[in-house]
Amino acid sequence: MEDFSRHRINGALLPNYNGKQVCLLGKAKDVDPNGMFFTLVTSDDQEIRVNMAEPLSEYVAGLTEVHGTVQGKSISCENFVLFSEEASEKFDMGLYNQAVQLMERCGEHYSQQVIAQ
Amino acid sequence: MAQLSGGAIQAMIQGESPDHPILQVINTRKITSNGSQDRYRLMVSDGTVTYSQVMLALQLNNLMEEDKIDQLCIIKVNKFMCNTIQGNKRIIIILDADVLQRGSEVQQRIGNPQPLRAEGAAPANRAPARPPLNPARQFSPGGNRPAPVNNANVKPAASGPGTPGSSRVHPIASLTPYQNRWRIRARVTQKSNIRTWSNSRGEGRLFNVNFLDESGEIRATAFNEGVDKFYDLLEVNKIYYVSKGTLKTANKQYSNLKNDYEMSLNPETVIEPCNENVDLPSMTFDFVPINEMEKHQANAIIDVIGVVKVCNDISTVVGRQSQKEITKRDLQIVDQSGVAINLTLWGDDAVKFNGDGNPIIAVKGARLSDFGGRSLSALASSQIILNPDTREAHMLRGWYDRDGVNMDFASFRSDGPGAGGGGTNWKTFSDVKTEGLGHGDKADYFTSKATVIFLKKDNCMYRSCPTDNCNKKVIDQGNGLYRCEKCNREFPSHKWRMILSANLADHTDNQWITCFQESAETLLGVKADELGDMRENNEPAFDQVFQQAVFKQYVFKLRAKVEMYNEESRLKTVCVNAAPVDFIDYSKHLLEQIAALGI
Repeated sequence: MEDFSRHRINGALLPNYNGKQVCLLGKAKDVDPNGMFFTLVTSDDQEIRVNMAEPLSEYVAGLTEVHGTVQGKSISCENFVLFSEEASEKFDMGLYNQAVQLMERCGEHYSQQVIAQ
Repeated sequence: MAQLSGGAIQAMIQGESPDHPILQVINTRKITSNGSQDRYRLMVSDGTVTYSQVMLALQLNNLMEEDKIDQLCIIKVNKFMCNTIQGNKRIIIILDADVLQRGSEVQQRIGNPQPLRAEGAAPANRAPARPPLNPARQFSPGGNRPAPVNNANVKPAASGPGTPGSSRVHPIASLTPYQNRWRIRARVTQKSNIRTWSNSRGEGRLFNVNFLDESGEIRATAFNEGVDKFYDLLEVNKIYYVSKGTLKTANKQYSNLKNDYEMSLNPETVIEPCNENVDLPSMTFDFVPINEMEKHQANAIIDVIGVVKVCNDISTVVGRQSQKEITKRDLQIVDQSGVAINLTLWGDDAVKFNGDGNPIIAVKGARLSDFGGRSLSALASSQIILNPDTREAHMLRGWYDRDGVNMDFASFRSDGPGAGGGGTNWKTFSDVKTEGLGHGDKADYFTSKATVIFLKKDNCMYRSCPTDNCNKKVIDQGNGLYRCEKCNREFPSHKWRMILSANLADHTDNQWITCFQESAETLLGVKADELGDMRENNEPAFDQVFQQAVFKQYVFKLRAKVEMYNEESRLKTVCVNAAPVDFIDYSKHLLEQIAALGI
């Protein structure tokens, strides 16, 4: 059975998901001049390096959701979602982090996977 | 046996002041009246004449109730007054009296007193009233025959200056509508702001004060010119002489003083500051510690003192009955009990309040409500004192600056599992049914997050009177005019008012609710007048508004109360407010609820 799960995590949970697909939301900064990586400040204030397979073709800043695979202390990005500046400003990162922790703690009540038939 | 003061009655009703006249009570009668205390009317004799226009002052009622005054007993009148009513009718009011001998010991009438008619009080009658003094004594019982009366004793002490009632100070407890010549000396313990009223009979201004002396309290109200005349004169905590006010039965709805009467300050009323140093009680507080609020009934009137921990900005609410905007300010106050409670100030008190530096606030006569567990509201009759110079206040100050400032305070919460977040009473619709909300004496207010699943188009709006604050349905006269029965006028225009039935659903159940103007406009996303226009002229647009309005989520503040319709009781749930979901607030609420589950 293939695992299609993509857990929503924060920086602290990264080691538990090594080699797995995750969804990590944070604020992007320090974009590589060549567009090959950037830094994501996670909801629990950790700085995670996000590696790109191909150079970035757009400006990345503010609230960003990265989908990819955990590789040690970094993530290799498959795709990402940029949020508007307005959404960035209104977003309550602390509250989001509590939600992420809760989803992890109560995994049996919050299913994050698709079971392949 | 005591001697009766022959001739005293005649003197009393002529406005003289006989010294402690001794009288026999021939008969007593209880006068019951609705709404106020019972009173007692007496027939008394001075051995010469009997007189039945005699009332016992209220504060002496205990003499009757404890059966100290009985028929034929002999009393010494220490204080009295005589009033003229209905032209020439004289009424004696006994303000203070001692019972010298019980009627059961006296056993018979002393003398052979003849009835004195109320109007027979002209001075001309006075001379013939005296001679029967001696005959009266001849009828005294032989066995325990009283010593002969010395004529000097009988002579009324009429030499006192002035008429009774003009210079003497009367206790507040003795004031009744039956007497008009009184003068009180009292301290102002409370003074309201100037308020205005406006109704179908006109408009005007008023304010009220509470007077306090050793005997009791009374509320006094001044209207219009009286406001100009007395508002600045009367200051809280100062002492005044007051006379010539109008007394009437107190309306307990507006007053919580322990007095059956209240006073109107009319243009003839005389109020003079008292500059003498008199020892009158000052305002007394009976502070309830904040953690003991739950021991008191909802709607109880209590005194509270605390430190203002949180002072919110002023905000406005629309009064449910008056439909007027009311300014309010919510405070959170704390005391040494480690509990915080919300205190709401209204109107001018709210506007003027300055919460800088965590002041001490003392409120006399705040209303305790069970809203949000327990909360307090300063009423128009409440007295609010900032940083009072009292022992309690100094202790609070010291405690707060030392410990309280860093303390965590418990607060009152509504009962029930859904409670949380700033006193908001969260309920699911299944809670509403299982807990039987709205079935109590009072309406239940609760908050639900729900999705609109259906809106009834039929009868969702009506034409109403265009007058401000009158939302009465108007009658279409068919000639372009609309008639309002309440305002008794016809108008060429009208307003549209919404009365929208909506079916809401959450994950537990669904609930029919009624939305009025503002909340209906929120749900539909259009103003009532625009919607009315669409209904008349553009039905597809009207229908589309309803289609687009469903399946949206809101946080609803709802009011549930069982009401009777045609002798059938039905739960009526009215929308107080509907607001788009604030996801941050709602997430916090959900986190709290999950935390409460303990997982």
